[in-house]
Amino acid sequence: MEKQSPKSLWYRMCRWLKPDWIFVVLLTGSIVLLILSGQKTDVAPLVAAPLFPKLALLIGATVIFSAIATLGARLDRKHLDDYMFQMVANGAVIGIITTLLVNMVWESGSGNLPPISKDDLIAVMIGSWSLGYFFYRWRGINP
Amino acid sequence: MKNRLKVLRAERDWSQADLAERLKVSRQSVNAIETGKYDPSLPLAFKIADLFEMTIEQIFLQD
Repeated sequence: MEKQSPKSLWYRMCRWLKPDWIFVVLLTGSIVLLILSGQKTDVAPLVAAPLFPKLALLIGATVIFSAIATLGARLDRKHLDDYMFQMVANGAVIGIITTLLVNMVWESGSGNLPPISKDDLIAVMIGSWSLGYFFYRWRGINP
Repeated sequence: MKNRLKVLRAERDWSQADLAERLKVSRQSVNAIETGKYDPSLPLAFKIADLFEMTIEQIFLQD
């Protein structure tokens, strides 16, 4: 009997876990998260933290997690030529840009707009990543 | 960018899945290249050209 290579197992798993379905789940999850976040009424009081430790922690965490993410992304390099991978990656760019823009708009108009929580931003990021993916799925990657 | 992938594949009586397997990409990738939704990377274009024993210019045409 022919031994199954890990690659064929990987491809079978990819075929089973269709990105379309994963992004339908993610999009639904982001909508649920937005609804749940909107229902939260108890807001944790803001405590002013000393600037230096906060900055050091944030910079340290950013550098470490960026390095981990970069190493993790190297594993995906072999799939760079795959159309589905390209759509997922391009959708992620849409997600990041949308989240930054939403945050910027909310920050600039904070007096008139209802406050936005980190849960809201995560929901916006996941939702816009999913929408970006479906946009590319519909239109294709070429301009 | 236009390409002759579908014609070349049909000439060899290969399905999209057959070609995808030979190129080690997904069937969706082959479909997206054929329908012009996606331009392959240079290494993949070379792989396609090698497979069909042609040059890249003979397969991919500028709009």
